[in-house]
Amino acid sequence: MFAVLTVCHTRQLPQAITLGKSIQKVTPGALFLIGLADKLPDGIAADSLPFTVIPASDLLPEAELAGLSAAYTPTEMAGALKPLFLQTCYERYPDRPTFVYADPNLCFFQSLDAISDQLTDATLLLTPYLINPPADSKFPDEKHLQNIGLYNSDFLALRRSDEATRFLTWWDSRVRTRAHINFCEGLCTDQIWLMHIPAFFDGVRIIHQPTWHAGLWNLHNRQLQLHSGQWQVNGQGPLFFANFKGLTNPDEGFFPYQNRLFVGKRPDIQQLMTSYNQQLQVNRQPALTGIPVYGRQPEPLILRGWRKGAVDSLRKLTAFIDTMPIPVLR
Amino acid sequence: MTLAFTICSVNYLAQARTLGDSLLATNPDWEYIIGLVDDLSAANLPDALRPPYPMLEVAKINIPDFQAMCDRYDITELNTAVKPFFIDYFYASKPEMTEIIYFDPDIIVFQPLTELQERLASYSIVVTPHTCSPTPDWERPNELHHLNTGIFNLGFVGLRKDAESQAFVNWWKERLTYECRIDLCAGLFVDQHWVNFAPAYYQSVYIDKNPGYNVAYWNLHERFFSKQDDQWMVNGNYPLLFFHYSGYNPYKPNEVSKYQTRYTFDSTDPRNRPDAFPLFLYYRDQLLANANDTYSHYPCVYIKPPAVPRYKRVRKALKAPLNRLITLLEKRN
Repeated sequence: MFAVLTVCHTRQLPQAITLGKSIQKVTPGALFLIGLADKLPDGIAADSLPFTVIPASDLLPEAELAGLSAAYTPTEMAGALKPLFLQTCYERYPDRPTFVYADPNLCFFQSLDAISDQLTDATLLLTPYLINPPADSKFPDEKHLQNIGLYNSDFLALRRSDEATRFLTWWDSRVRTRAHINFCEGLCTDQIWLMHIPAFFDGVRIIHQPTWHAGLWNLHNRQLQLHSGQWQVNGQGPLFFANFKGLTNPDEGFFPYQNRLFVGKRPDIQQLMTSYNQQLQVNRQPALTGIPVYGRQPEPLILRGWRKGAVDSLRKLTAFIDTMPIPVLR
Repeated sequence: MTLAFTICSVNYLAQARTLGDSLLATNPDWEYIIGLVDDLSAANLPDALRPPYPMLEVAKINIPDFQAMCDRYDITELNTAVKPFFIDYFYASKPEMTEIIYFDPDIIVFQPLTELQERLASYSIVVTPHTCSPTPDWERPNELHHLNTGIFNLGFVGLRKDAESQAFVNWWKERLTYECRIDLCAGLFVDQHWVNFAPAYYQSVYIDKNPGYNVAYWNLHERFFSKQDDQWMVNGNYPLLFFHYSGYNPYKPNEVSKYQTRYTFDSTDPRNRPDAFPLFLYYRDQLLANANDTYSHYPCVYIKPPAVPRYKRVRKALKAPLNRLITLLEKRN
């Protein structure tokens, strides 16, 4: 009954395949699809991969892809195409009543039935980054979340319905040409648009269970314990799915400068990551690397170490110069 | 019992009175209080200008370190930042109130709000979205403006007094003590943007899409008005419950609001909205009858002279080498 779509670049295919295998394991009948916001390298045939790959060229003519590609970074480009990939799959597989979007960095640990259970009396499921206010002033803070959107677009579930069709049409109409990251203009990929969903569409459920969508941004509030081969979250139930974005590669995602979670102090997360990385390793191939074909704009540079420290201090200093009182000299 | 309240300075008392009059006519069993961000002894209102509703000055609700908040904020920021502090004050000082409803002063109520009371029997917090459907064009305001300034309009919020709404109010108070500012690039827009978090943090939040609620310029594209047996209806089927005349100037009756570009009341303009015009004229008459002309000239004691940064050129010169260094450090290797 389930169709699960991920959207990724070629270099994320090992993650996507790991996700697909995790889904096959917990819900064998689920259909797993990979939307490729990229092109496969020469020598890799789509049918050599274990899952159905939908190329970006199925969505749009090459000229339109080239236009978007010139305007976007690879991250923005994947976001811009996400609603259209989802809409295309939704139309292509009309026999699947439940559609899930899952980022390639996701990994499922329990049957997807929890999703269809929620969807018996809801149309659309959203998972917020935070389900409790942060109790400190560390980063990411709530202001940063306001800029990127409070609902994590790495996961979305919908029940086939008129409302879902209406949502997909609207999402694509907004996101395809407005997936830039520009906080001052209220823009942030496909994600910030999800803020409108609870107001615009009926049957939207915001998931408050800590067992759903554990990740870098909320694991400070979620303690994991392994009980007879099953991860438990805060003793409130088994971990349903986790997102490894920013955990395996700290430069990936919206929180490269996060300073709340230190994995070094969390043996539970280390153990979870070790087992995930083992699965990921199996799916790595030398050919599945390289720079994405679409998204010609450079990704923002992420500073580390002394350079980051120096820029932060200089910014503080310029802000101080802007606001410091200077006595009037007469 | 239900308590409705608003917050304004003396210059907006015509609006606050008009709201009070509308509540008295439609929901006579509710208590109504005007939270005043001003000082009555300084204003020294003549008896004729004293509203027939209780007023509560902001200095009297024991906001911790209120003076520092006044120093930090401009008048818009201050007027919005005190909202959860008033709610909290009412929670503590009026234990008989089971529901507390906030309305902006430029709202008027057209009908008994029994449905809202019923909603608050099952939910802790009721909020209304600016718009319940996509905006039809990229005129102002559109979906991007709402993304920057908040999905829900905080000219209205309904709260049931319980542990969950108390937790929400406590969290909101904490945030607004320092960060009730307008800085869109930093994710800040007064008290309103913060409330985006309400449905993520709290389980008992109801997003009320009744088209009769909080009707204003930001949702005129999805709401059309007609009169049936002397009663205003929205989209034919829904009684108009409360209207929010945000940014309306009674002396410019052809303008819907100073904050929008989508509609006008100019009959020669294709964007004309004759269906809404009588609703605005009605409000205009009420405001003028409630001494808007006189109140609007009262200065607020909390208004500060705008901060003029001096020595702009000196500051710029001091920053120049630092900015060059930042550019260098941010260069790709």
